Amino acid sequence: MNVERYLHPIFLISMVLGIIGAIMGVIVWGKDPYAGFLWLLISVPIALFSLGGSLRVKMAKDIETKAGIGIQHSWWVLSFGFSGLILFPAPFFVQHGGAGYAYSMTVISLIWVILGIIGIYKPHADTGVSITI
Amino acid sequence: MDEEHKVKWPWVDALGDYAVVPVHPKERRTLTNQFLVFTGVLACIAALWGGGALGTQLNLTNLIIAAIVGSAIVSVIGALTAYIGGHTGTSTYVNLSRPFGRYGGFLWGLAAAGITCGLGWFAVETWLFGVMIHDLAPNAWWANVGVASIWGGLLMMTTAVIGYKGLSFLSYLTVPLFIVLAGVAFAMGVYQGGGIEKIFSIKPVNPVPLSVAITSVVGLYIAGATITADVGRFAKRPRDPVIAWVVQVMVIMPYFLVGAGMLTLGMGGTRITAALLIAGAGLGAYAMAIFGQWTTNDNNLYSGALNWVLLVPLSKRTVTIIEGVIGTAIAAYVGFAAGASLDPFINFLNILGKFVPAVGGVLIADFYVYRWYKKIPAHERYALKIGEKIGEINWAGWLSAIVGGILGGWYVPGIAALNSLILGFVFYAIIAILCDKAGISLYIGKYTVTKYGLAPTWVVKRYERGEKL
Repeated sequence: MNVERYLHPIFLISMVLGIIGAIMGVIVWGKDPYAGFLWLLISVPIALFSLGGSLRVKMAKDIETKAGIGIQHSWWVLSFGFSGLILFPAPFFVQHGGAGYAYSMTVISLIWVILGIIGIYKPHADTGVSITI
Repeated sequence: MDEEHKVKWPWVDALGDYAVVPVHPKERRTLTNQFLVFTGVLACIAALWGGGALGTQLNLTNLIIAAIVGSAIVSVIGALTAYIGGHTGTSTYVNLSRPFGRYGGFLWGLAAAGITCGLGWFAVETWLFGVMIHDLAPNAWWANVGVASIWGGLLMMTTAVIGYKGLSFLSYLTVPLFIVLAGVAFAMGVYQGGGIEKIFSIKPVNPVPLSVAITSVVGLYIAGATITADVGRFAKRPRDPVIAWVVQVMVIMPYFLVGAGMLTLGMGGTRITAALLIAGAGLGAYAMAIFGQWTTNDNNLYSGALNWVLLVPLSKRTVTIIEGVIGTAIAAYVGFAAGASLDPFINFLNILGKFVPAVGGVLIADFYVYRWYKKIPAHERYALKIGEKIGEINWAGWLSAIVGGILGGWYVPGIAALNSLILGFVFYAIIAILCDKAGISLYIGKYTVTKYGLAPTWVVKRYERGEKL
C-alpha cells in the first residue's frame, strides 16, 4: 500500500492550480484590489499547504504518518476550495473581478474540493487513519 | 507522547466520549485539530456578530485596540485552563471536582455548561439563527424566524449527536471559510467605506467608551475560555491546546472582530450577515449565517450533554437529542409568537454568566497556586487515579466562587467577567493556603475514584448489568 502514489499527484495538481489562481489574483488586483484580495486569500494558502503536504508526506517514515499528514493537508485544500466555490460566483467578485476570472476560479475551486475529498478518503480507506486526525 | 500516555489505560468509559474518565491515548489529536476545533467554536456570534456590533460603536482605531486588549485577556485565561485539560485528559467537570468537590464539580459544571450552554445559549443562538436567515430572505416561507429556528436547530443537533468527531469534521470544513469570509468582510468594508483612510475617519453610529467595548470583547468568549479543557483534553501534548488557543484568540479573534467591524463601520450599522449580502457576497452571507451558528451551537449542545448525562439516566446521544429538541422548541416558540422576547431568558443566562468566570478563577487558583504551594508537580496535580480519594464538597471553592461572582458581577466597577474571575482566584488562593497552614480541611466527605472515573452509581450499576447507556 503506497499512499504517496496518489497523494503527490493530488498535491501537485492543487499547487499548480493555486499558482494559476495567484497569477489571476495579481491580474485582478491590478483592476480592483478589493476583488483581487479574494483570489490571493484562497489560492496562496492552497499552493502553500499543497507544497507543505507533499514535502511532509515525502519526509514521513511510516505509512500511518504519511496518511495522517496527507489527510490533514487535503482538508486545507478541500476547505479553502469550498470557500472559493461559495464566494467566487458571488455578485461582487463577478462584477469587480470579471466574469471570466470569477467563473474560472469557481471551476478550479470545484477541482480543489474533489481533490481534497479524494485526499481525505483514500488514505483513510487504505490505512484506517481517522479523517479528523 | 508524554510519560502518562505510555502507561496502560485502566479506565472503563461507561458514559462514552470520555465524559468522566481521561481520554484514551489513541483518541488524542494533533495541534491542527485543536486549533480548528477551537476556531470552529469561535467562528460565529462570539467574533463575527460581536465584531459587527462593535463596528457600530467604535471608530476603527478603538475597534482595533478593543479587539487586541480583549483578546489578550481571554487568551491568558483560556490558555491556563486548556493546559490543565491537556495535562490530565479530563473534562471540565472532572477538573472542577478538585476545587469544588465531586458534587461541586457536578453542580458548577451543570450551571456553566449544562444549563448555560446546553439549554440556554443553544436556544438563544438557534433563535438568532432564525432571525439572521429571516434578514437574508424576508419573503421566503422557509426563512420565517420560527421555521428557520426549527430546521437550524435540527441541523445543529446532528454533529453534536455524533460527538467530538462530528464537531471536528464541521470545524475542518468551515474554519478556512470563516477566515476567508472575515477577509472578504474586511475588503468589502474598505470598499464600501471609500478607502482605508476614510474608514479611519468614520464616526460610529452608537458610540460607547473603549472600556465598555473591551468588556464586550472579553464577555463574548470568557465562558468559552473557562471550559477549554473539554477540547484540550483530546490533545496529544499538554502544550498543544495552549498554543492552539493562544493563536486562535490572539490572531483569529482580532482578525474576525476587526474584519466584521470594518464592514458594519463602512456600511453604517447593519447586521454582519445582511451587510455581506447587500455588499454582494451572495452565498457567502448564507454560509456565514448557517455554518457560523452551527459550529458554535453544536459545541454548546455537546458541552451541555457532557454534564446532563451525569444527572439523567439516558445515553449521551439521547440526552443531546432531548436538549436539542427543547432548545429548538424554545427558539421556534419565540420565533412564531410575534412580539415575544428572549430578554428575560438572556438576563437569566447573564446572571449565570457572571459566576462562570469566578468558577474559572477558582480552578486556576487551585491548579496553579494552591497545588504549587503544596509542592505537587504539574503533571500530578489533577491526574485522575483509581483508588484516589476526592472530596465530595470543597467548601472553599464554593465560597470563593459565590462571593467572587456576586462582588465581581454586581458591586465592583470595571469588566464584570474579569472582576469575578480575579476575585474568585484571589479568595480561593488566600482561603486555601490559610486553611492549610491552620490545619483546617477544605473538604467535606470523600469519594473513592473507581475504574469508571467519576461516573455516578446508577451509571456503574447499569453498565455492569450490561444495559445499553
